[in-house]
Amino acid sequence: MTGEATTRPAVATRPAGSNQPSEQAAAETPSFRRSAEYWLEAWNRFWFTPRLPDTLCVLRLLTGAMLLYCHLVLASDLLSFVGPTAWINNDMARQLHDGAFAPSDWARSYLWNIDNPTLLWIHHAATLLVTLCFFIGLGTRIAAPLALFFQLMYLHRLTGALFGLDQIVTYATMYLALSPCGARFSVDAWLARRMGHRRDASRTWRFLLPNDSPSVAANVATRLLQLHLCVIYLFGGLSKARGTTWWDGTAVWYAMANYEYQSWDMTWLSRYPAIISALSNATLFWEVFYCALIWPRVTRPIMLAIAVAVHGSIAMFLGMITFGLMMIFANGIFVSPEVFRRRRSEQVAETDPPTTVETSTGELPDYALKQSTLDPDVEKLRAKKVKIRDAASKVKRRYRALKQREEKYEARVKKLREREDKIKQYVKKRRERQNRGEGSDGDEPGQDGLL
Amino acid sequence: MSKRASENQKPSRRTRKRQPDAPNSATPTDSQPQGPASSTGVPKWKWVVSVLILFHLCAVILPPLAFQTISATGPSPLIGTVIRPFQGYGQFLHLDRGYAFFAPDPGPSRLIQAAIVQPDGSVQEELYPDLSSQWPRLLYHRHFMLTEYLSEIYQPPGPPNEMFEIDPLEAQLWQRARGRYEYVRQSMIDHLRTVNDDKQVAIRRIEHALPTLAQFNESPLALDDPRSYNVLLDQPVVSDTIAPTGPTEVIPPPTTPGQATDAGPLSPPAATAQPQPSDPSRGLESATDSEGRP
Repeated sequence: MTGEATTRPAVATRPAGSNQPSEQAAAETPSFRRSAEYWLEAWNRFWFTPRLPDTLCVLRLLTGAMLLYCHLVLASDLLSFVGPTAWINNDMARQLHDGAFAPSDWARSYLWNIDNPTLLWIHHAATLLVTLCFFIGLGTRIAAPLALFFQLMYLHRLTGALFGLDQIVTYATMYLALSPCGARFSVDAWLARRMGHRRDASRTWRFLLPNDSPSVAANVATRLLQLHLCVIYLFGGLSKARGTTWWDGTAVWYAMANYEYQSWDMTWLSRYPAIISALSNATLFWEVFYCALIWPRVTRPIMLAIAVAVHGSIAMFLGMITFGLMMIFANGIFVSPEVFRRRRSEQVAETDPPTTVETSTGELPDYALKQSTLDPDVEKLRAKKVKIRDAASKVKRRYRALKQREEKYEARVKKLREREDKIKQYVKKRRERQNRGEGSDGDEPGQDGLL
Repeated sequence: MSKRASENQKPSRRTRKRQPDAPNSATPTDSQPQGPASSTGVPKWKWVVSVLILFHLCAVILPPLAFQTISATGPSPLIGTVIRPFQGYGQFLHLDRGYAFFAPDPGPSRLIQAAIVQPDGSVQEELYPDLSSQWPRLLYHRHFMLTEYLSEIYQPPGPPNEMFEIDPLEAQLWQRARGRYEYVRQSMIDHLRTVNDDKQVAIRRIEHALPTLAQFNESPLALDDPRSYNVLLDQPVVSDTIAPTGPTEVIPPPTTPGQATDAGPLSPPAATAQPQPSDPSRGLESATDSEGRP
């Protein structure tokens, strides 16, 4: 548009009767529509492209283990944290949310009303059982939302005793509950294999024991957790940017000189203030720019490497092993599921041909046939299918891009032709006017001569 | 949301008609493109899911934004209004966080010291959190967060009576905040009494100061040196107990040109000695029964 405006002839030279603004608007309308379509398509692609669930399945294992560990640790001193004689007793916990001391909120928990220690223990045992099911992937479709529900009830009860670990473990569970995270590395996957055709015949079983094919649900859960991590880091970085020590470079010193956090004495670093300063500044900038630099493929490995370094340091030196590990696990959501799929295929290919099991009749049992011959082939085929699909999608993307470019060129050529016609008309009119003018000029000498 | 790939890959009849061979456009992400998506061909369930996603994203983004915009007068009027429809949802899902880890600046730890009166009249002191008795580390950290929470919600006694006349709303908020602090403190005292066989218990808040980098390099002290623990007194903002004992400053008389001053520069304020945690008489907030509660 800008180029067009600069090459356009001055208003005074425009042919009479031309309506430039309306032409401009007409030219803009399809571009606006194209732009809207582009964004709609981008949104569609970002959220609704089916994705393999492998990364989520690995994350389920890790999150489930962490959640189970959290509940087990709570069990070691349960009545100090829930019940009528806890650090924050039941009445107090309720009053912190029901509007007695601050505006009322929706962070409600039925645990405020359970005073009986036996009931609390039964409830906690049920929580542990559900979390264990979520961890091992048994009835994951039901266990995951239930584990989330129990976790939320505990969170709203444990006001005052919570920290970053509780947040990230809850968010991970929340997004996993939306996805078929039990499709691999789970008891569900094993059951699905065992059930075979019976599973395929029933819609309920297909829902309860999802297969590991790409799905939109897996993609939505992945994208939500990815975006949530971006929000966490962005606001973590912005909060730090409001302080002074993250800028003057002493923040990391204060973190490692904190005796209550410290799990490994790092005060020897005080002899190298430049390193401390660099670590402080790097943390600040990494957190602020994480939300932008985690998406391009070029910078993603760098951002993930820094994430592992930062959270690994928190885990090792600041005594928050659980929080540090969980943040690293959550960052794993940016790892492509094909990494796990490829590993699996490689493992299958590397294994020796399995020994065949013969029955008493001398025939190979069905399951043995399946295990010994079909699985590796199926895996290889699947891997090939994924590769071919990738290649096809790349070709399609290129084709689409070329097509769009072609459309743009066509539109441009059309405009240029229109302009050419206009210029021709203008030149023609001008010549006619000149001819007419010359004609009149030519008469004058004659007239003069006559005179 | 639970639509499978096969269902999703099947383009609608309308789309197929209009864009028979329209593949997906270029993308820099890992995603595997499938089915065409034009504004006319988007299935209804995608619109519904999109609206839900947008709602959820608002509930994720707005709470930390509100946290950043909060000031003495409350959150920014814009964010305060926009966040309202998402507040309840965010609170229930624990999304109403600020994510200010070690921010804006890493500060000192706030602990609790409990004085437990033994049957023989001696006083046993315990510091919370305590790594030797709270194991594993996660349990220790939960106790640490509780002690931090007590200091975080601390509100000095008050408000002064005049405040009810000048700003009754602010005075009420002060009263409420103080009430919350006292109730939480009482709940902690009750817990300690329960786990200590109903013995008399009193608690006080302790701040564990952090040495600056320069201080540490000049004279390295052990990080758990008793001198770095300070008692946080529970006293009104305006109190005789914190009134300076000597002249706070000497203001030099105005000088005329060519006249030298004897007073010199401003002298520093009189230092107030910080009580040590080993002094059980300072800062103890003793247990009161239910009738004695605020």
